[in-house]
Order: sequence, then structure tokens, then C-alpha cells
Amino acid sequence: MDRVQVSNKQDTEVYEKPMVSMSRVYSMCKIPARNRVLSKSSVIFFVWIALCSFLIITFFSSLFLGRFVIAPDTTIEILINSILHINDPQLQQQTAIVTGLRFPRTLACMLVGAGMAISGATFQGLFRNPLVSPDILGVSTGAGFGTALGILLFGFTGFTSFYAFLFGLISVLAAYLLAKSRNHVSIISLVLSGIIVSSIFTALTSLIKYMADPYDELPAITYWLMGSFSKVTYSDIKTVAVPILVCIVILLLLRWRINILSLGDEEARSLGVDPVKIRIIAIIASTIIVAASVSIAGVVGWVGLVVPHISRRIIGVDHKNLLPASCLIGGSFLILVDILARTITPAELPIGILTALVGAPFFAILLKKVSNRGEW
Amino acid sequence: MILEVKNGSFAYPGQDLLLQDISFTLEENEILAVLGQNGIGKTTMLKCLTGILKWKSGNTFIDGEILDAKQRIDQIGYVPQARNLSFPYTVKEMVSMGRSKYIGTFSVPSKEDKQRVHEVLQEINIEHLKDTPCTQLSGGQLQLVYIARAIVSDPKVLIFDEPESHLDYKNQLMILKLIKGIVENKDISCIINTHHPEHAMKISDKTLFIGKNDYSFGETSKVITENNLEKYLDVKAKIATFSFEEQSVKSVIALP
Repeated sequence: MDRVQVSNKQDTEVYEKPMVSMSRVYSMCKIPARNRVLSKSSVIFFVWIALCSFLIITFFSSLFLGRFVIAPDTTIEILINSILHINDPQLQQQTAIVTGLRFPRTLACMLVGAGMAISGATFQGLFRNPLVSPDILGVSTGAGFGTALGILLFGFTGFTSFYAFLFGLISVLAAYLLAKSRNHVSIISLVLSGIIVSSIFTALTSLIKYMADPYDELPAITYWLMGSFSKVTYSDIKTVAVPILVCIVILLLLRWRINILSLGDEEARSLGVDPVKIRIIAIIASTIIVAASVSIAGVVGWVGLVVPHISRRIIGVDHKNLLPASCLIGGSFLILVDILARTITPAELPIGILTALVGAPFFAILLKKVSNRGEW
Repeated sequence: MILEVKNGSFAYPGQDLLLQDISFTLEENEILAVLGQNGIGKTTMLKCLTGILKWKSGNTFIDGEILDAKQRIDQIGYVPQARNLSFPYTVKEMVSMGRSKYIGTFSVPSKEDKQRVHEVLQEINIEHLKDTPCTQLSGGQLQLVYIARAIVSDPKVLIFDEPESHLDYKNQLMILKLIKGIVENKDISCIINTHHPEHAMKISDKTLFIGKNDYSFGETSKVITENNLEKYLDVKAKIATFSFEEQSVKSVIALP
């Protein structure tokens, strides 16, 4: 146990003060001391407004940016037309692109980004470790295996997402049961059994790739495992929107309790909170979010790991603010990366590659900044 | 309010009994010091009292009634040892977590909760630190934050696990003084785990020595004797009394 605490100590230092410190804001704006009327809560209020508007702006930009650029005012016209059910024959092609392709795609990005980010923030709190991502218990690899199996058995049909979802849940359940001994589940054994289950499913996925038809099924599996929003349809969104939204709301409601759980089980108990029940609810909710995300968009890594860190820098470590902020930032982040994915090259890039290429350096800069100040 | 433990025994799974048949009584506004060697079960006993662990046999009683889980949460506040935190919560955020028993699973601290946190921060005199991350505090300050977090839940019994360990000499005395002040000013009693018999003599009314197979409990002045120090702490020591400003002060001097 001693050893665990020592490593925790180092992890601790990764986090740092939020940027929103009043004194810093004031000194940046050069406001003299006597005129400082803004309270800390009003600064946070402005941060919320900024985050919401950023999400709205990225969402809208995503509708007119792409290989085929549509002017913003035309985009607005198309949106108004489709709400009012007006059919403008001149804009037929543009309408098809905006409402048929980009709108569902952007919506899916927002859902998946917000969901992955909030589950990442939740998991980092629950496991008291900043290096945890929401697929630490093997959801993504399980879901990846499910999809590969689905493609092998039925080709690329609606069944594959069902398989992805099912195996995502199975892998977490397996990790949980493996970690359970004498009615007690310790966090360390949970993480270790997550690694075990993950590596088994990774091996099984490789086996399926090995057996798959190299001209037809193998590219489909490989491409899907890299993640993409290009095939998202309204019916996909209809299936996953409800589970993802419900689970996001559950996590948002639990947000203050996550603070208490992040103190460790013993302290949580001494404060009168039963950590086990809340942890199970939070794990189930996060798992459903990730499994549902993987089932429509493939494996999109890094969002769940990086976005909570960015959010902590902006809003602080209190999960009361961190969880909603992660949602907003995660949604904007994934929409932005998706815009990149479909604009920077003539052929569309798989988004999983880009989230890693954008996310990893971002994370590195963040770490560098912290370590330069001698905090890590 | 009277806190009683009757015939409390505890063993970790698959091991021999660690605590055997312990009984003691603590009256209102009293401080109990728990002394014993490392690994003898002091912290384990506190955990049994706070309900983090369950007695194997025996029970805790408050005013003659068995302390159930709900009562335990209502009546007992626990102050852990100051140690490293997983997240740099600010002092205000940390102390507000002490209100968790009043805050529903799906809600966040209310205005009243925040008000109470504010009052306690003023009481303990750490209001100026309220927006400082706990990771940037000194050991003594962090211990104060933990004490504030326990007080903010308005408990009847406060339990401290070695509150003065890891602190420098001045801060040790500051914490002891604060504990004494809290017990005098609020209607609560207090149990403190310590390695220093001198600290026990300074603030406690009752003392409990925990040994391997037995224990000793009673008025501090009667229980902390040279004999018991040797028996329970394995230290040959002399208890010296001298007078300072017309008060008699007792001190423990370890013999070479």
C-alpha cells in the first residue's frame, strides 16, 4: 500500500492550478486593486459562456467547411429551409451535403467527443490517476473485437455495431469479475484485470484479421479500427443518442460525488459516502458511452485522456465544474479534429490517426509546461 | 453524550485477533488518548469506531444504544493523517466535502453548506487559504484543513489519527491546543491516537493503552505511569513533575 501512495504522490503533481485564478486575470487586464469588482464566480460564468459559444461556433463551421466549401450564409439558408421544409431546387446539391452528410456527422462527433471526454474525466477521478483513459477496463478493445467479428461473420451491416456494443460491455464485465475477490474490488486489481482483458481481446482481434479475406474484410476491419465518422447516418445517431445522453446526464448528476470518491475509499466512507455503489454506477455509465461511441465511429483514442487535462487547466480540478466543461470541450475538440480529417487531404483521413497526432503533442506541451515549473 | 465500546474484538481476514475484548467509556467533553506501539492496532481500532472496518465481536454504543451505520455517519467525524492528495482541490472545495452527509448523491453543495464551510474556515483561522490548492499547503496547514473538514459535518465525536505526526514541534503543539479548544467550546468529545505519552498527558482526560494481549484504560493521570510506559511502549522512562508559573507540569523523560 505504501508503494501505491508513493506513486500517487508523483501523479498528483501532474495537475496544477487552474488558469482561472482571479489575481492572474486581473493582472493580465491590468485592473487596479480597488476596481476589482468581478468575483471568482462571475469569472467562471464568463468561462462557461466562452465554452458554450466555442462549441456552437465549431458546430456551425463544421457544416460549411470540408472538401466542398459552402458559404456560411448559404448554410444558414439551407438550415432554415430544411427546418421550414422549403425545397429550393437551386440548392439541391448543397442541401444534400449539409443536411444529409455534414449535419449527422457533426452531431455524432459532438456526442462522441462529449461522451468520451466526460467518461475520461470520471475515470481519472475514480481511479485517482491522471493517466487513465475511459477504455482502461478494455471497452474499446472489446468493442473493436466485436466489430471485427461482426464484419467477418456478416460483412459490414447494422449487426456490427450491435456486436461492438455487446463485446464492449462483456470486456468490462469480465475485467470486473476478474478483479472481484471476497466481495471486494480494489482499484489496482481492477486496472490490472482491465489490462489482461484488453490484451486478450487485442490478440483475438489480430486472429480475426489473420483469418479475414485480405481483399475485402481485412481493409474494412483495419479502416474501422482507426475510427471514422464518414459513414454515420441519422439512424446510427438515433440508436446511440439516447444511451449516450442518458449516461452523460447520470455522470453530470454524480459530478460532486466523484470528488469524494477521488479521496479514496476509506476517506469516502469516513465522510459517510458508500464508494462502491457510486463507482459501479459511474463505471457502467462510462462503459455504455464508450461502447456506443465505438459502435458508430470506431476506435477514437486520446479524446478521453487529453480533454480532461485541458479542461482542468481552464476550469480547475473540482469535478463539479470539470465534468460539464469536459463535455463542452470534448465536443468542440472532436468536431475540430473531424474538420481537419476531411479537409487536409483529398482522401479522408481516419480520425483515430488525427486525434493521436493532434492529441499527443498537445499533451506533451502540457506536460512540458508543468515539468518546467518543477511541479512534476 | 456517552460513547462506549463493549468487548470489541477485531481480526483481519485470515489472521489472529488484533484487538481482543476491549471496553472503555468516554463521557461528554472528554478527550481520550490511545497509546501503543506501531502495528498494535491503534489505527485499526479507530477504523472500527468510525465504521470503516466492522468489529468482529462486541459493539460501539452511543448513549447506551448500539451505533448503527446511519448514526455513525451522523455522529462521528474522522480526521485522517495529513498525506498527499490525488487532486489539488482548493481548501474551500476540500472542506466542503465534509458536508457530504448532508448533500444528496445527485446534488452539489447548497448555499447553507457553503455558509457553514465559510464559518468553520473562520473558526479555525484558515480563511485566507480558502482558494489555495491543498497540494501547496504545509503539513500543519493541511492538518488544519482536515480538522475543518471533520468539524463542518457537526459531529458529536471527533476522531484523530495521529494528528501531530509529520509536523514540526511548534505545529504539534498548535494542533493539540486547537483540539483542546474545540472540545471545550463545542459539545463534543474526542479520541486521539498518538505516539507521544507527553501529548496524552497534556490534553487528555482518559487514556487507553493497547498492548499485545491486554489493554489498560482509565484516568490519564492514573494510567500513564512509569510501569505502563515500560509494559505497553517498551520504553524505560521517568515521569518528572516540576512547577512553572505556579502550575505543575509533567514530563516524560526516556532513560538511557
